Amino acid sequence: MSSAQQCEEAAAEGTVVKTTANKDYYFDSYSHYGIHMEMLKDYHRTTAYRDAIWRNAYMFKNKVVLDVGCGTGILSMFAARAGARKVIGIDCSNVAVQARRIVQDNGFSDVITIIQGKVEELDLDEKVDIIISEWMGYFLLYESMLNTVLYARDRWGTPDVKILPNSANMYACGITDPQYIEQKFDIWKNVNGLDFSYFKRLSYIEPLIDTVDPEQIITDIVPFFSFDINKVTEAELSFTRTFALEAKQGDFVHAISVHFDTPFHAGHDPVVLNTSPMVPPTHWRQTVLYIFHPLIMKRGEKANFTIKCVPNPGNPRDLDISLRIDFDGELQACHYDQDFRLR
Amino acid sequence: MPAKRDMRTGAPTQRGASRSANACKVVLTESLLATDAEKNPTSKSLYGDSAARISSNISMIHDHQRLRAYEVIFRNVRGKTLLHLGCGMGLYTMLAARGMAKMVIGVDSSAIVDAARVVAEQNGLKNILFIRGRLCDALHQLPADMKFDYVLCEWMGPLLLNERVLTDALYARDHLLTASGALCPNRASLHVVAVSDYPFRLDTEDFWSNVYGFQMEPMKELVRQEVEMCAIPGSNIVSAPCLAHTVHMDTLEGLTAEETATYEAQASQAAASRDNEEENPVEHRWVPTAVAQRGYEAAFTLSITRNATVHYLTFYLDAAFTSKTNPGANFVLAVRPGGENNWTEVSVGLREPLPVNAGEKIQGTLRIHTPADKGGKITVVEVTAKTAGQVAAIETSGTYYYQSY
Repeated sequence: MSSAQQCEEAAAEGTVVKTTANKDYYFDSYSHYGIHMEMLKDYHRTTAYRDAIWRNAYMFKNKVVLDVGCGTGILSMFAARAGARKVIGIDCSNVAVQARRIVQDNGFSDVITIIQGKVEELDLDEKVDIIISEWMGYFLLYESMLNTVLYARDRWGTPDVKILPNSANMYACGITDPQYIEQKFDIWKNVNGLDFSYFKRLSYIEPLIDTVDPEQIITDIVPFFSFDINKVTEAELSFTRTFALEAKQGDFVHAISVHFDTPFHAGHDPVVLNTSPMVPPTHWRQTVLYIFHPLIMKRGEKANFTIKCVPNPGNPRDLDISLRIDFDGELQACHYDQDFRLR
Repeated sequence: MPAKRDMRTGAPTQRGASRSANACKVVLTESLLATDAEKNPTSKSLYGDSAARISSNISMIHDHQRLRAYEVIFRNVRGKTLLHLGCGMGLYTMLAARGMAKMVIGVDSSAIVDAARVVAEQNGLKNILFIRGRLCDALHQLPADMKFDYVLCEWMGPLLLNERVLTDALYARDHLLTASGALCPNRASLHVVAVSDYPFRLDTEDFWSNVYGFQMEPMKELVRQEVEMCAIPGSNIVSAPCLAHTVHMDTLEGLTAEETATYEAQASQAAASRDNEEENPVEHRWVPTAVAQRGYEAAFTLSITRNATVHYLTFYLDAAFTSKTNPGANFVLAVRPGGENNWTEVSVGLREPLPVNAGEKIQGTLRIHTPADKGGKITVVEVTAKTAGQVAAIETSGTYYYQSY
């Protein structure tokens, strides 16, 4: 989840309203408590950051930390408690107003500075030793704030800046989902006697963000895209990769489920934030790409995929994903391309 | 879930030349390449356009209650003209067209109408036209001087007020209806019930007392002033519903001459700048002050059905259509607290919980308005409620904000 887009929205509309003590309006959705509650109640997410910071507290001693997209200030406070000399939390949403008071209420006002604004407009008097940020979106990169983190890294990081998390990996697996196919795709064939098949076609273009049950997984889980946040450039986030999935049991593969993990290996004691269907669901759940022709796979058969992911030229916040499917099985062969748009 | 072996889902739609040695097996080579129109249905304007997601329209198919209500109109539409404002995926628009209407026009600001247009064409419906935009943007695209026998428009918001849609509905009522034409639905009411839900209070408000060892008290105020939109389980409802306020569209004051002129000026401006598809037409459209600030005040009395502590007041909407010419076409979209409703209910958390006995009454007042200076996007709800004092004499009041998108 990122607040970068809300920032742009607010800027575009010219409605950045300063929220006063208790009775003012708020406009951007990151000022709404619900989104922060969802993220904070995502125990796996929040404790991954907490543990990565506290189990490596030695790394934070007397250091300057930048928290990109600080929200309620939780990560800044983790860093302050770990012993950071100075923490700068920046968020463009109005929640910065609450964050500032929260920091004060918890006795960190001499360590943590909350800034409401954009990282691109940040002005600091020293470089930062550590950057912490929860920039990940659905499908890792959707609406993500990573570009902002990379900007912060290049502009404000020391040459050996530590970034938490420091890398990211995306994975895919084939899943079966007959129920969803029936309820959300085939239902369009006849709606009160009208043929809405065109909606069925369009449905395939929309990836679904939902929880995949481990029992649905038919193939192995394979990594297909990884990067090091200390080195990656914005251009490298548009990628094409190939991977092969091997059926572990004979079944229909109706969709490819994509998830990610982000290791925190900058310190001595490693922590990994994982959004796999094999672990309890996070608020990112999984991204499911329903394929136009389901594969009828037998155990041990392999299907090859090429996945391409680029920001939509019209709206860079959206992702254009295309999938090439090549499968030659005993029961069926599939060779086709399919486009998706995550928006 | 266990996989159901359904050969239909694997059925081939096209048999291409086999690439494999096994000539008998099914070979699928048809690609699903999105056209530019499907991939980029006008770029930036898609932001916040959740209706443009196909999956978000599924619920419409299952809304049998609403469908049955409107069907009485579709059955009587032969030879008539119909304008559907907020037509969404166009299902009802197409059903009206199939009912042999002379002409049906669907208008919606979501990109979903572009898909609806394709569906209408594939179903051979000729008497139908879909226009993307608000009525304001669409006015110049309506056939010249066309008047309508029916204008379908769910003009109400979750608290009855939805200025932008209401403005369009009023304009359509006053300028686009035939002499015997009807706006449908033409009445809507707001109902109040008392809700007891301590766990939800704990979960949303007290949660902030200790977040991973830190206190986040300032977040509580954000929670307290929020109008929550979520379905309420019937088991939490502890009073009979009370009808608090009704809006009758047949008698509601329309736009003033000046406002109408402004509206039409906006329409011609929209006509002139048709190419500028980058902007979301919903985002920055003018709302006349008189409509925006209309608001209303209401009093309510809640008869408590069991001993409980009331934490929330929940608001439900109903709507009805009363035809002046055809009583057979009347319908009601009724409120069923705790059951399936036509609009998701909204709730406000009482600042102080009210402990009450069965049979006791809670007296309250409501003031709902939308300040024009916020662009008509924020609806303000002021509530007071007091017990009769059987358990404890408590009066509580609060101000809440609902943001419409």
